[in-house]
Amino acid sequence: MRVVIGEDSALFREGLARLLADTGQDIVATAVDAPSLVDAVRRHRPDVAVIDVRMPPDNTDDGARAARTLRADFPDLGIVLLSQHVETRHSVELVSTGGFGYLLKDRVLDVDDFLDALRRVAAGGSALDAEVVSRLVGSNRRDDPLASLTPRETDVLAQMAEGRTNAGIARRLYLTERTVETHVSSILTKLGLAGGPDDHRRVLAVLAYLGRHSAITG
Amino acid sequence: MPAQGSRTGLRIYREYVTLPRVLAVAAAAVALVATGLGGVALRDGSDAGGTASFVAGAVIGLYAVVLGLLVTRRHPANLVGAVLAWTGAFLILSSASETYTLTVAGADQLAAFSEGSWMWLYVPVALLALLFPDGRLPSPRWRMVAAGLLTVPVAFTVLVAMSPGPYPAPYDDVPRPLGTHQWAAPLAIAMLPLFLGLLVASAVSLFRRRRTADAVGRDRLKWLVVAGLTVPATLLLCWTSYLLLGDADLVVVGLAAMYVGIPTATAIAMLRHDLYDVDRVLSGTITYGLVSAALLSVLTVATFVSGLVVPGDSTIAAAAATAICAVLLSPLRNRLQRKVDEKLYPVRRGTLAAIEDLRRRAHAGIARPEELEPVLRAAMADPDLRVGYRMPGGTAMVDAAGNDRRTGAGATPVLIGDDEIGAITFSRGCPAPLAREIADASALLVEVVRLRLELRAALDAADAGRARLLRVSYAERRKLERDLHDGAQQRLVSLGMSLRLAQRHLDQQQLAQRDVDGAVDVDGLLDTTVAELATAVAELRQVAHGLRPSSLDDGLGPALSNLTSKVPIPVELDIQANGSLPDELTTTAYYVASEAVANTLKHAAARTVVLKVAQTDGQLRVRVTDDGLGGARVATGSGLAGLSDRVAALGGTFRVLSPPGGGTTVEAVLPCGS
Repeated sequence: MRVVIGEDSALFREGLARLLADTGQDIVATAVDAPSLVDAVRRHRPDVAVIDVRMPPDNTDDGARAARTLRADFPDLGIVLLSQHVETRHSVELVSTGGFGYLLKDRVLDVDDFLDALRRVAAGGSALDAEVVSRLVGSNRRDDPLASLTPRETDVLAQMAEGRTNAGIARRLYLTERTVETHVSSILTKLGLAGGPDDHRRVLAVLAYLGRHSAITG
Repeated sequence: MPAQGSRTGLRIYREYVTLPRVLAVAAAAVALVATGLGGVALRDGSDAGGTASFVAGAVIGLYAVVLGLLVTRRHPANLVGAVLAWTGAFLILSSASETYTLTVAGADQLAAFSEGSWMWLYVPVALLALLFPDGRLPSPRWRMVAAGLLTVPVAFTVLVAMSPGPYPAPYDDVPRPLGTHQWAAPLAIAMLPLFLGLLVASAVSLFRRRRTADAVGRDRLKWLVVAGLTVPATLLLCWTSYLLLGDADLVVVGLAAMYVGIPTATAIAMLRHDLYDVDRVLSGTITYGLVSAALLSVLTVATFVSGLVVPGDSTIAAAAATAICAVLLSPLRNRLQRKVDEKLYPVRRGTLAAIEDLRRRAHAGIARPEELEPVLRAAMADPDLRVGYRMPGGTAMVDAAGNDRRTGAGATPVLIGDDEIGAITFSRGCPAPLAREIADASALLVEVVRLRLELRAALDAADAGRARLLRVSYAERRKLERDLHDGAQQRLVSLGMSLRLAQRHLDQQQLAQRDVDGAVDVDGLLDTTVAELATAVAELRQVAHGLRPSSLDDGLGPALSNLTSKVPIPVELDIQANGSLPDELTTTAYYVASEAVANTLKHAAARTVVLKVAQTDGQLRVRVTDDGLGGARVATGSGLAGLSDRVAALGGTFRVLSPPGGGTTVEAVLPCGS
């Protein structure tokens, strides 16, 4: 994968670049602030851009704003936003549009998982941090369709929300792909969502549902 | 150049040598000569009774002459000073000639002219009325009156001197120097109504002038009216004299007062018309005159009645009646003063009453002492009147709202003891004595206002200090949070990445040895270490979140929805806030919500929570309501007490409503400026 990294902390930027390069990724450019990141992406047209949410010049959500700009210009670009803290609302909104990922920074320490997320996003899929997902599916409400899920189905739903494919879920939960498919169709029925053969689209439907759900909550 | 020099000299001459000055100096000369002659006559003669009356006449006359000279010095072109000087000169002339005639042998002939000379005593007073205050006649038509005033007394004196019949005692046997003529007496009598007419005309000229005079002119005329009031005062004295002494001796005192009073009032009018508050003097004089008249009426009746009841000497009864009357009249005097003030002096009366009324209402709590300025403006019909308050320890004046205020050079200081606590600027002319009186009457209110201003300033400073401390503490929290995220957390993650990189490069041999006896499982060790690092990062994230939720950067709404997404019971969220609030406001509102929700979760056993945020009318209202057990209290040191302090620091209000069994409502109202 051709990767551009936007990150102002030299320590983190270089560490991530070396780690990703070591796994065989092609780090085509690194940027230290939002404007130079946008420039770098325009010049190199990478498969995926890994962007720190908080970056110069304003040190607020410059990275997220740059991501929206890039998404408008390059619909096929995969974008993974990295953050130091959890923020549900905007992250879910972005990720449910596909080709987007939102992860806490320390997820890079699980190298294989992180690479998996990058690949999914680069392919138009999604990746949502487990912490965010647990907030989405964990909020306890009466008259909530989520409450009608079995514990196993809730686990599967969380994996779906994180952006994983059936195969990925099966690997993670030590289930057969067949079992996972059964759970998934049960979940979609209970939540009133349309099913389909495309893993990505199904994930996005789940995310959109959870996003609406969280929008109703807050 | 000589020509130039002489022209300059002429100009100076014209400037300094004016007709009024010449006349005044002439009057002074005549007065001195007459005094000298009188003095010589007294030394040579032996009449002791004449001495007292001559000395009195000379002192009073010289007093008028000196005042006349002073007025002419100030107003060189104004005839009033000269007329005043001649008033004194005539008085001295009159008493000197009387003394001279009495004491000097062979001066009897003068008696012929002294018989009709009383008329001259009225001439200067009448001329004064005619010329006052600008030294000119009201109009050319009045020349006739002036001419008449000067010619009629001459004619009268001459005609009286020629009238048949002997002189009055002790000059019965003095021969008539001009002979006697039968026609002289009726002509002399005919002069009397003519002269009376001239006097009345002079008095009427004052009223004509009053209509056209400006403010200063009116003030001066009022002084002359005060002087004129000595005439009825003399009548009152006459009455008193007859009542108490049985004869008119006291009238001499009255006459003396009149001769002192008229020049004094004239001089004050011309030199320092604003020296005293003429309105006040006028209304005071009239009040005392009326009270005295009333007292005398009562006393007259009392004497008459007691004379009927108690035969013989009624002095004791009359004295007792006087004392009783005096006691009875003292409250009457105040009421009378108010009535007279209302008629003659509405501004003083109205203003003082308004100040007193405000003081009373402020005391009762139904008015604010800060209303002093509008009250004074209304009472004095002076819309630009300004009241300045001097803040304790400061030099600048402020208005009732605490803004800087220039009081101007002509301001009347408001004093308590020797301390100037404020100043009042009157934009319409206010006589200095009245200004002083109003400033004194206002002093207590001014003091209260400035103390209130000082208190408010101190409270504002304290509030600002608390708000500043709160902002500083929030800023520090934000900085700590950033430091944790960008510093420690970042560094730990980087460390983890380095370990992962190292782990990827462990050679296969080392991996193969992991099961060999005693060898260290480096791969497993690295996995554990990285996992520990991840845990440390997560913990730091928790700490940072506790310091300040980063989601607050996105606004109150996102932060609160983030907050409620972690709550295990249903939360109904209703947020009506349109962003762009100051950071300390959103942060405080967030803490209120999060602490209240945490309290609910911990203690209330509630099933639902409603979190409502509304921004209206410059207020941000945060309300958290649950359906739990209730009975929450704001105990010292508790989370709720901390919230109360934070909210108060921003000038807001905080309350907790928590009846046992009735759920809990925590509400904070924060001012947000817009």
